[in-house]
Amino acid sequence: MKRFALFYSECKHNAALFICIILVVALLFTGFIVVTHYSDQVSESLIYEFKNDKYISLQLSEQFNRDNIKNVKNCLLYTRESGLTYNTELKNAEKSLFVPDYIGGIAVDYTVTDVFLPVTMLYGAAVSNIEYGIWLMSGVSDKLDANVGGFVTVADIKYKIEGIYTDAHSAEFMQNTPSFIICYPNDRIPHGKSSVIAVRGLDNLLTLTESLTLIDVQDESVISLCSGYRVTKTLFAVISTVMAAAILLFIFFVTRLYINKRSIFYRNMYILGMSRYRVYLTVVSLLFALIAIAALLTLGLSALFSLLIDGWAAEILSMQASPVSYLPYLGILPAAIAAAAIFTAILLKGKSEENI
Amino acid sequence: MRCLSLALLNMRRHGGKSAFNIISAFAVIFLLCITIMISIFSEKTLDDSLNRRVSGNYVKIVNNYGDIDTAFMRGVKEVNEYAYLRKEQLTDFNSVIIEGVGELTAFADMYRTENAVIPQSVMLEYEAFNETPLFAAGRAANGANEIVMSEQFFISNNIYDYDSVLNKRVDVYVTVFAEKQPRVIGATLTGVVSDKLADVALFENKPDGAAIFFVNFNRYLPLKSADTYLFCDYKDMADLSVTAGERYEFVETAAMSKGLEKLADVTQFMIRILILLCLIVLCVIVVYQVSAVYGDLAVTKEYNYSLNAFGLSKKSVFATLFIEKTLSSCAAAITAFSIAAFSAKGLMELIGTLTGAGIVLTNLFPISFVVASVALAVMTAVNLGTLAIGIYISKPSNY
Repeated sequence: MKRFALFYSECKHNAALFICIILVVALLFTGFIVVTHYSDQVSESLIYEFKNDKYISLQLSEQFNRDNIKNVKNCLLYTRESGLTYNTELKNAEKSLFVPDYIGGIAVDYTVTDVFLPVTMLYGAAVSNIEYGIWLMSGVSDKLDANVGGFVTVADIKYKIEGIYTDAHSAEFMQNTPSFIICYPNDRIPHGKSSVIAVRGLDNLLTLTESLTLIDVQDESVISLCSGYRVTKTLFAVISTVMAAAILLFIFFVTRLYINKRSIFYRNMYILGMSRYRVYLTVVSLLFALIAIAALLTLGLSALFSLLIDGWAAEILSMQASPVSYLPYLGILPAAIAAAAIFTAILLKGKSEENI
Repeated sequence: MRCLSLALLNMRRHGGKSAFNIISAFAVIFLLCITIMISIFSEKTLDDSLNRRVSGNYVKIVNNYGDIDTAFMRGVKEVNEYAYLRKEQLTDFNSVIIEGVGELTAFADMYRTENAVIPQSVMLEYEAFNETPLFAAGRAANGANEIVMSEQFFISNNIYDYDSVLNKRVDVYVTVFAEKQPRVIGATLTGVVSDKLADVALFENKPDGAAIFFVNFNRYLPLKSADTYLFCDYKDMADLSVTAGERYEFVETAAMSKGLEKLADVTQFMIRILILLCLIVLCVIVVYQVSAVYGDLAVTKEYNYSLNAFGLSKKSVFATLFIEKTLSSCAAAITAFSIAAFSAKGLMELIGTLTGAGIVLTNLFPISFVVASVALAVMTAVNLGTLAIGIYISKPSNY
């Protein structure tokens, strides 16, 4: 009862100060919520189409530097070259088959450790980085009368047949089903205009684009989008951190204001015979009340700002921004109160009835 | 003077309180400075992503008769700010005669620029991606009768001693469609540009093995398939295209950053959010300052009343408090401005390294200074208003 009387008296005498404190805390909370909520939407809208676990292929330029991807895993590097994978001849002991460009094969870079060519195997081993290994499309193997374990010569190099695959399905990034796949030994692939690097998944794409430079690829937009994604994500993280620091600082400011400037508030409590622990609890309760009211005001303010920002999202990005979910932000309230409690404990330390 | 002395005395007497006021004010001004600098940095960084290969962003005027008006090029504001050049394709049917060397086959893309100068955007882009110097020999052309050729041309004609051809007269014979006699471009060779010039986005679509010539634009030569390229920032492309389209029928736009409309839109959207955030922080500054001044007035009301009782006029009490508050705000603004500029520079460098963007906004002091000045002006206005209301409008017993 005493505490309620004290609260009432405090509110009555410091209404303007209370309003200011509540407004500042609510504005800082709102800023924090707006930044963190929209940062994800902004950065992810950049690379939304790459979020699904699909393959992204980048056509490499002639200036492609192989060293740039030597540390990148989960990528596939392949090439199509005249005389090697098309306009060439496949031969085995009995028969030969001319491969024109429209059913050309691909030469997979043997040095890339993870080969994940998504072709449907009929017989033999899945495509992997086996040196001098060849995989044939079923139609090609029929025409050559070749089978797993046999040998085929391509451009004067002998390859062992490791598997036969169906011609029905191939990955979108390969444009059409390759008539054969060879694992070309080491660095002997002439990386010309037709080299392609393919990755699957957002994380791998981000890792890959960190390694490639703009000059390495012909489609620069993917690189720039990934760079933009990283920049926006990091910048918003920095701003969120600065906002969080500002909230903590302001709570410290308010606590200090109450302990040092409004010392009459807790002096009265001592006079009323309240124990040190109860005084502490009362100050914390007052701060809790202020922060809780600010949090309620934040709901209204952030809803107002969200309306504005959603309008911008629809106008500029033509996207429907998802509404703010306050559930993840519920943690701010106990965190702010915990901070206030800690600051109060620190500032009240050493203060007693005698030295106030 | 008396008010200033009194204000300084007050600040010294309540050193802890003044220091805390300065620190708190510093924190909010610092927050504003950092938010605005981050906004500018992000805008510049994303803008750079769109314009990094700026030579690939151009508006092309396709004109079959080559009668592009140079007055138009110089006269249109948007165009005038950017480099422009015309491209003509020379084939095996064309030849080049170099004085003292003889007749050579010309298979090249010939770019006509004003005074044969290589566009700045091309040079900047080349330097960004290549460590070797742009000129393998000689220098850039700076006269009307000078020509610059690329290494590719000499290598394909088995000439490796570039010094032997420098400053020699070069006649480029161009056979124009439907004309019996070839036209001749005569000029002095001033420089040989590196073969790596082909790395620049502008030349990406040149035929394999084709050399690059830069010759003077002013010499009128109608050629079939002479395209004129006007370079511009990504964001100006639409406007420039409209301006050129009003005059010429065949206008195309092409951008290296094609498909990056998303990034441009997101940048615009992000800037709006950051501006909104800056306004929120500005509101925080206003409310904070009101509460700080109001709180101080409440705490020192007995002292202020006693000053008034000892003969100091209301005006003098107001002036003393205003000076005290302004000095605190100035100290906070100066500290925030310098620390924000330094820390933001480090922060930008860190973000640049972490994200691979590699862009550092170097001159942060002017931005930080302007932002801190705005914050100081706002705080001073709030000080003035709050003190005036607290001292003049409220009853004397209230201060």
